[in-house]
Amino acid sequence: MNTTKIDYKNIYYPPGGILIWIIIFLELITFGMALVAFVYDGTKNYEVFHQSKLQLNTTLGLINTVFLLTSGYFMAKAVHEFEHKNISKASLYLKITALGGLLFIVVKFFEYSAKIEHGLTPDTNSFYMYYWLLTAFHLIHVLVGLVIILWTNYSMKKPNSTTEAEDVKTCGAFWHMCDLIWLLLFPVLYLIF
Amino acid sequence: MKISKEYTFIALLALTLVSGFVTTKTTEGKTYVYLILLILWAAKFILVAFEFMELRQANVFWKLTLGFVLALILTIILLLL
Repeated sequence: MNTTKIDYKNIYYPPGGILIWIIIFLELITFGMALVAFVYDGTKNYEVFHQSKLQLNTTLGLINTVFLLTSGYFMAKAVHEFEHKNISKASLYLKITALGGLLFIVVKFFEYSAKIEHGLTPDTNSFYMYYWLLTAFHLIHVLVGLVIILWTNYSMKKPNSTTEAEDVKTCGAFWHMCDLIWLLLFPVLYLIF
Repeated sequence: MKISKEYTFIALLALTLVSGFVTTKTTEGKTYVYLILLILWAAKFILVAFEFMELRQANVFWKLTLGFVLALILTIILLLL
């Protein structure tokens, strides 16, 4: 294990690496633009958006927010433990992080099932087109994040592992990006209108 | 100022609960409610980025860029509402 000290004050070395931060900004701008389009359409078709929003389950949205925030907290703890060379603790926290992600997916599965059962698909109206596109695109990110977490956990526990603290930070940055995107989606989709 | 991860986590949960409470206790179509919700969202966003993602340690360029993106999205949404 290598825990080389990096000067994060250097503009080229933000925590997790410059590439992951470029990805984070691209994702935030993409989701941000989609949400701006969503709000613009919502102001034009207020009644449709208001009635559709009332069909969403805010409680499930809140539960999912708590799951993602909790898993984000454990991810931050995992990075901290890895930096202090506590590999077993870091691995345990990574597993809890992955569990949070899995619970998010399970809740989303129930939410999607109920929507499909009631015939609320992307074809229903423009609100549901945005709802499905944005939440499904976010869900894909969560799935990719889970694969990265499990892979990082596997590689850090290997004998003679070459996993560096920066690798775990990059993995963490991707997972926190899923948090940030959800924090962006939740109030606009579930609470406004 | 360095805030521990535990305090950050508690603050995030509290802000989430306040968002839920504000939504259930208000009627639709009020701009000040949207403003409160978006400010709460911005606070959570900053806490996750600066404390969990350790952006606090990064060069000021990254902090300002994230702040700019956050402010841009927030302002456009508020202007549209």
